[in-house]
Amino acid sequence: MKLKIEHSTRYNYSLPLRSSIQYLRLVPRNDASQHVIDWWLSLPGNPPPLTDGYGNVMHVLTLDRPHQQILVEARGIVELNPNHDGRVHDDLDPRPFLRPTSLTTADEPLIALTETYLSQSQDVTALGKLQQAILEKMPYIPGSTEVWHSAQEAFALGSGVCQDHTHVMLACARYKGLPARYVSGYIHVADEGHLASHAWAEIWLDGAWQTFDVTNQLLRPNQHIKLAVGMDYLEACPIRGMRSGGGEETLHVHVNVRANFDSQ
Amino acid sequence: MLSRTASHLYWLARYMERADNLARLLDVSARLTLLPRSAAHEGLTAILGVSGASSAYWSTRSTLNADALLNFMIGDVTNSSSIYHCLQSARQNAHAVRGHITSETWEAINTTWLELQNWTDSGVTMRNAPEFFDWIKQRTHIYRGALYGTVLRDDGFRFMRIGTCLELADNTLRLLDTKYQMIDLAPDAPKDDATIRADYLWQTLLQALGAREAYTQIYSYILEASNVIDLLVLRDDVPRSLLACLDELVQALAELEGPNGKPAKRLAGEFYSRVRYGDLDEIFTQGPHTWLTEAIDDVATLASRVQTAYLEVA
Amino acid sequence: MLHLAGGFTLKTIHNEMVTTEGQCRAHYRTYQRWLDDTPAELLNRKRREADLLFHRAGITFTVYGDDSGTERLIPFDTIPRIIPASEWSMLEAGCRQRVQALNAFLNDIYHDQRILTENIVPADQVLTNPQYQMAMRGVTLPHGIYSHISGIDLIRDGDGSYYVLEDNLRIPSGVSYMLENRRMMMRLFPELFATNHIAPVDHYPTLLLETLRSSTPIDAPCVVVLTPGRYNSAYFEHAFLAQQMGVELVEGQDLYVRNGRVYMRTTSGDQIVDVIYRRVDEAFIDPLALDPDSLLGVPGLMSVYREGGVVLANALGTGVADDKSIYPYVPDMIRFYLDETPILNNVPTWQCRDPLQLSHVLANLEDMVVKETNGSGGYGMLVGPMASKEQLDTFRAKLTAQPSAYIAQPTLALSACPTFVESGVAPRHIDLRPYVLCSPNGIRLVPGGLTRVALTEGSLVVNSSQGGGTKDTWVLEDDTLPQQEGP
Repeated sequence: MKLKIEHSTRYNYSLPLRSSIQYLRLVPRNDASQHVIDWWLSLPGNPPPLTDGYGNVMHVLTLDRPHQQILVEARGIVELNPNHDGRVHDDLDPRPFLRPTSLTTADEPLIALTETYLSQSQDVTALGKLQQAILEKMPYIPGSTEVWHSAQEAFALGSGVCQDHTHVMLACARYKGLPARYVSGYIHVADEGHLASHAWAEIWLDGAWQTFDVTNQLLRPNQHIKLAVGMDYLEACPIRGMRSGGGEETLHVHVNVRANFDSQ
Repeated sequence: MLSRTASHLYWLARYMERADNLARLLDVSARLTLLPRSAAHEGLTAILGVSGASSAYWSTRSTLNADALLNFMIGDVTNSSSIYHCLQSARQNAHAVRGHITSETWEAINTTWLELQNWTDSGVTMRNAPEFFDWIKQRTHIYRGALYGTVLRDDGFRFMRIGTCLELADNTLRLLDTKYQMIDLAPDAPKDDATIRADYLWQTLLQALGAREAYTQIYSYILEASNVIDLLVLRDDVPRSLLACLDELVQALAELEGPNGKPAKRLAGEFYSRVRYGDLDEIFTQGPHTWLTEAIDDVATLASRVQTAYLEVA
Repeated sequence: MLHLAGGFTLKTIHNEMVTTEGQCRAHYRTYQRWLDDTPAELLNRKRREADLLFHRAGITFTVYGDDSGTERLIPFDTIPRIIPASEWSMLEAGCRQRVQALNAFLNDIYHDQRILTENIVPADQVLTNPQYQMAMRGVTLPHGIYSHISGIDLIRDGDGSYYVLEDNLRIPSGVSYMLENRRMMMRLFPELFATNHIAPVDHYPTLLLETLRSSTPIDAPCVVVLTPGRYNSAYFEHAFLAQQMGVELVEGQDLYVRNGRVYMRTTSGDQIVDVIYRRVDEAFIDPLALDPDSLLGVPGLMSVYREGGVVLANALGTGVADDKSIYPYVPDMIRFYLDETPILNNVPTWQCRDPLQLSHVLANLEDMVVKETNGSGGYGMLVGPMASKEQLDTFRAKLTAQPSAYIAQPTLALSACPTFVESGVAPRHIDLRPYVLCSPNGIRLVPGGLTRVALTEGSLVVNSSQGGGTKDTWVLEDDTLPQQEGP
């Protein structure tokens, strides 16, 4: 399936920004699940593409003159592989992904959860049950957590969004000695013609990265466009920035996705 | 030079001068309370006024006497206008830029700070106050000596001079204005008393500014308001006069490179010309209090332009 | 006499000045004659003078965990530690060799990983190490230098042979004390420098600046020292080195990133920075890439660094090579990369991650020193022979719960050097940290380094944060000193 995507994000500020800097990971990568036919990113100042330590494509947006608006536009065509089995290969060594981070450290409740589901076996089935349990214990409630919440905190709150689900999954897997990584990207909700930012986990099983989308209880991503991978949200999130000045920030997102369009 | 470094140097200089100014003011005021028929109480009130510490003082105390005031203005850690606070801030700023001042200058500042603890531990009262004030004057002389004798004449030095001049100019103007008002506001006193009173007030002012000898040399012994104003505002050969401060300020600013400083340099130039080519008639036509108030505002505006042009970080 | 239970070859303690027969060693003879002729009262006076001078100059450090932010002096001992020339040339060659191998190792593990594929160093231990920095993968550094400034901690066992206790490749500190101690000694005892031929150390700042300048291909680069600020325990050193080198001492807030370069804010506009001598911990260097709560770093710095727009000294990710769990493999690195025999010995080390080694450690805990693999500054450490029963039990529990976080070593004697203490001159344990500068022009050291001394009788912990002091370190320019005869 081919998706044609137009995605623009406009930040408006109530006061002039004196300066701002952002790390952007907004360029999808090719792998077994997706093929990027065309991708075009429009940013103020046209910064060059860079890569980070995980091979993600990154842009650094620096603005140091007073400004009151930042416009980030992405357009492109991505073909999703309908026969994808949920397992991807790349050249990243899985072993560094064994290390817990401050957002993905298992505390006692998370250890107890892990032991319930993974003490006997750590295969796809066991992990699938774990992923089911996570969603049951922390149902998807938008706005129930903040971006800086850790797996422990979100789990204790008993609800969360895709970021929290993924962090909990990573904490459990790493605790059991399974390399696990955070994936950020988009998900295409076909019925609504809607594209949303999304996050899911990949866990190293039998020599490949197996997808676990806790929020959607999926093992085979079918509507997912992958942007970046990392140890956790902080390393893989699409936009991470700092600013000085600017007052209140308001965000306007405009998305347009068309599936199975006729290419010219 | 880093903006942050410049800022530390500038404030280091301002706080050192402020501590010295305060000590001088307290010194003469304390002495004044020992004289008969003195304006002692008003003098004490005026100190709180000049240093902007009135409300802080009265928020915790109900009476004002010399010992209480000394205690509050010297060693009170809660008073952000105390000598303790000034020297602490000077030392903190110096500490942050130790690499930009000579070790001798640093040691002069640091030793002052360390020795201050001995004074404040045992407390300064009317009994040992003269000794304390002599000590602090000597310490700031050592600091200035080390600074002028050893520091490289670079931008860092210029920012210290700029800080020094702004602090001194502000202090001179405030003292002058306060004393002038005190004299002006007591017209109903008997003629002789008023003269004696005015005499004491001008004396304390001149002593506080270390300008007693200069006055005598230039105007003879008779103290007159117009001469005092002439001396402390319009003469360029009196180290703490407004004109002398502006003169040095304009020079130091002119030596700074870069386009940032234009608004500060322009204001300094205008202000300097106004004082250089101004005269006593003008000041008295406008009224000394009005004139001085405007000048105090101009010093503040100049300081804020220097801040914006050179010292702001991020 | 000092008594220490248990240990390695430990029956005796090597005394730097006196042999077991009570003879003064040759390289101390000139000094000892002077000491014999000098009244104790004079030494006392000189020591007080030194304290006063250090205090006045503000050569102090801030103690961690002390909320009042009190500054303390690091106690300075006026009796020097003396090293004969021949011994120093061995140490110098050993340190050079070690730093060369460690840099090769770092370059390797962030690129080809030959040493891992050939299984010389276990790949798991490197790749799962918390200090293995993913952001350094695929970054090619100028001349492959990761650790521009290294501190190699050396100790001597009972028979006098030297051992490397640990390598410091992150932010080795203390070099300012080496320099200040020498200046103080020359001021207090100028006559000693006339009679002993002592190799100078004052050129360290010059060598450091050359090292930093040559770390970038840019001609006439702008070098700065990046400090966490004046509340950092080593702030004095940051300011001191910046001043000695004549470069700016900057804080994170003085720098910013724009279009792939780092700039500093100055009174005459903004200036490009080419080399940052980084005295801020790696985790705090860029709040957009690493610890997001850091106020000490520069947002965006990592992206500039990865693209080669700025040099950081030391590089990021060096901590994996001085980690105590990697330390046992350094001799193998020397053989692997340099094809040389290691000149300096490693202390035998038990890796608690290995169940067999762990059981040995647990069985002999009262004779061992146990360290956290990722700790420093003498914190989180157990010295078995000095420990109480409670401390031993606590560590037994810690080791069992998380064995891979610890290594254990025999309790080494540590040599002792005469030291001026309350009761007079008495032997106290010392170590030595030479500072090794690595540049494309070679690996250089100034003779000696920092000698740290444990001032408490019998104590083996020399860290300044734990009550240690320092001494001037003399490397003699030749072994055979002219005998100074009295009249």
